[in-house]
Amino acid sequence: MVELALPKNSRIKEGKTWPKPEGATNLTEFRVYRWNPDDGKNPQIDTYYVDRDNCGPMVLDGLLYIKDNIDATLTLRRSCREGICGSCAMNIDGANTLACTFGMDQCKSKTVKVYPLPHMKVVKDLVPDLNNFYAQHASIEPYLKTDTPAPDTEWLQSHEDRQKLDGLYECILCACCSTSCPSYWWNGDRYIGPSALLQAYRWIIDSRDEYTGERLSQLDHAFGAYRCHTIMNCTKVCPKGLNPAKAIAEIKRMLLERAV
Amino acid sequence: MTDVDLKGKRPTSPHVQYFAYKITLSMATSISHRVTGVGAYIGMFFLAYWLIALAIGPEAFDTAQTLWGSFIGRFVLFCFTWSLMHHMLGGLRHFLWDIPVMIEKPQIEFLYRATILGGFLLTVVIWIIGYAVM
Amino acid sequence: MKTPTKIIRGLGETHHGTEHHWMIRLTAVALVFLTIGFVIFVMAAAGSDYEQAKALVGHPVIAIFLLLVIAVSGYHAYLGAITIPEDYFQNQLYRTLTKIVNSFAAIVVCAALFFAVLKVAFGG
Repeated sequence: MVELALPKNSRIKEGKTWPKPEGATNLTEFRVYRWNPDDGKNPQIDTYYVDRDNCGPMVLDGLLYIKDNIDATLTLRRSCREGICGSCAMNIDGANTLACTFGMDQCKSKTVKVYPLPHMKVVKDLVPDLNNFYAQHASIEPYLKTDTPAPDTEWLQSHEDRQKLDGLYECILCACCSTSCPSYWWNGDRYIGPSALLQAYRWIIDSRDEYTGERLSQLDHAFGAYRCHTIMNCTKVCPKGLNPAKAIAEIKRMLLERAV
Repeated sequence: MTDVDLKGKRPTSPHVQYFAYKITLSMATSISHRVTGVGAYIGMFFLAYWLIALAIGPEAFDTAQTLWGSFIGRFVLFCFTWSLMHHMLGGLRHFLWDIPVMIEKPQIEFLYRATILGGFLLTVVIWIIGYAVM
Repeated sequence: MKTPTKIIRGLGETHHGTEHHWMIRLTAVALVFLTIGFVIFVMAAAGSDYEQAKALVGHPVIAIFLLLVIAVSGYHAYLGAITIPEDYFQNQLYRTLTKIVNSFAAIVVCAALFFAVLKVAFGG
């Protein structure tokens, strides 16, 4: 049955409220999901107070302030701090985004609520298990496939054909879109999700690729492209401004085109 | 080892429960398409009741007409009309997105709102006309 | 212990999904027109007595129209309802049972509706 209610071991309790930094006047409250695999307890929400006068403006800055000054055990993925690596994707203020490009003042409420990406197995605190996600990307074979022997120089591509890849190749595989999709929540192991579908489309419309038919056939089933019910959460949350919903719609259109 | 689910010990991160994921108007409208679809499916059974009553004879049909003509009956019919119109406009919205057109972020938001408003307006118009011709 | 690749590959693809999707869209387009007509029919039938309703449903054009509405709606409802257990039931048994119930329900309701319209149209 669909997990509208989370399993018992996932139910969240109220956690610890950490002390406010001394002498700080400009504070922002953070409520952060915590889970430790070593203590056998259920997840909890810890409350922290971040001194804005000693901290950068982004949610990632706040989380690292907490890690550096208040609670070193807070665990999260992060790397580039500029919105290009995709590591710090998490659920902030009710929607998936990158912590490094989402300002604390952008939050609609005064409290910054930070949860891991939705409906994923949690490794620790804000770190989800993305192995299935990566396997789904690998399954769509994200590389050029040709039967024609490779030319002596490069595969040629016109400007117009190269433009078709704009809005597709820029994906940073942050998983914001797939983990915002209710279809992916309910069937994450069978449905490959908007992120992988966007990449599949990137290779389907690449003019140099010769395995278009096979790529489309791989998606032509009830749990392929058709598990998408155009809920549109994916396009709404993409931190790079990409449009997975449109790519999936194009896939469906091409599937129809070859069937008629 | 990240590919071992620690024998099922790992929790699942919250989605709609605990309001971790904010239910937006677009999400609610999207699920309403499915809900109104199920409503229309049930409506077929109600239609079957009315038509079979007609096929059976005058007494059965009079009962059916009285039932549907009552206040509760009309209220249910009003809800069905709204449900059907909302589902129809939702279907047209899906059709637009199949082409695909109007599938950029601001257009998506507009279409969701237009579906909600349009469904309600169509229902009201239909019922005004219905009462006018009766 | 399954690897992630094993998990996501599952049992593979059936390569059958476009027709289902396209049929939903096709029946939906037909239903836009049929619904407009059906709403007009309901307006005409509302508040009518037995003889008026019998004459309305029994009229050949109306009867054919109603049969079309029933057939197309029934098919559309059946196709649309299939997606619901696919989304919400991971358990194979529940999913299959719900799909079977859906098929039977759609056929039963359409058969009943067809019979009713034809009886009024042909019978006394």
